[in-house]
Amino acid sequence: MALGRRPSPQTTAVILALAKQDSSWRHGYDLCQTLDLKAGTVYPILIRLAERGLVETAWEQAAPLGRPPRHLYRLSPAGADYLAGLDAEAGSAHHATSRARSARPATGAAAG
Amino acid sequence: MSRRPQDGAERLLDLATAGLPAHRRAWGAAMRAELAAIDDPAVRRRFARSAARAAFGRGLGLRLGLGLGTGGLVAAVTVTASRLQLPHGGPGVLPVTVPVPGFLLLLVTLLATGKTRSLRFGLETGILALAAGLAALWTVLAIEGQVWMDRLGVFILDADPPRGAVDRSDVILDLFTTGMWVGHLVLWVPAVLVGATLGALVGGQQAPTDVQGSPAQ
Repeated sequence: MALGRRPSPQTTAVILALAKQDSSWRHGYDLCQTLDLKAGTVYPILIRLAERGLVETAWEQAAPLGRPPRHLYRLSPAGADYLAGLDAEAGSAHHATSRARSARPATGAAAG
Repeated sequence: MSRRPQDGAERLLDLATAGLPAHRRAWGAAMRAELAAIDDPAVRRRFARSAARAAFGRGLGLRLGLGLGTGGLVAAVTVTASRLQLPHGGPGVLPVTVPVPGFLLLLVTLLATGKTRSLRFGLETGILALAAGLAALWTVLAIEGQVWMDRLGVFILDADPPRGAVDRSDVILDLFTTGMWVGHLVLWVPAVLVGATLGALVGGQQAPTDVQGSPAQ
């Protein structure tokens, strides 16, 4: 399921961080450190992405003695498709900007 | 099994994530588990503060929407009761402003608790709705009370005539008498409590809707 509108830079950063390690699971705090974002920013993003099916979640299987199993996150196939869509969108926007630039007159002194 | 003694960070996050709506409960557990994996006390405090803000913030819009919406409805009910009675006089708006908002509060609290399957969420919403309802009621009564006194020469709540000459401030101060507080709160507060209890009973019978996954492969 898509987000419906362009994601925030922080959401994009979370998606990209998860995409970097393909199918490996990441911890929430690990993402906070990697992205230099606070837990209060990362967790709402993860919740939203998980609820929209873009991120898969799971519980750690072998937690060390004395602490509870941690929650793990990775990009789902739908999330990978969504990221590909974002890339394509960004690519076509970049292409359109380049075309507009190249269509402009070489001299910038039209006004006057 | 050795377990770290509970510190302020853990207590804060426990408090913030206690009673989260059912579909967010696993996220509370996820944040607490993450905190348990952090050793540095300063980092733990930062993580707990930030995660607690996130936990408190979830559903804030719904709480505010239901609370303020109830306030708006109470205002509308009070204005309607006043305007319907004003042309020909009546018993005052008290017979309407006590039970109708009370029923609304019960409904809102029941809905909030049942929908989220969280007693805490329901009670917070109910208390916010009660506060908004009281504020709306006082505002409308202060304005409409002047109209009643000018046109009918009686107080708006119970249509009683004043014992002597009254001015505008007397009309407003009448709204803050003990009878006004007790008369409304004696029904409104139980309405919130009953709504939350019924919501918890109804919501507790629904299937959980957690989105959290299976063990990692």
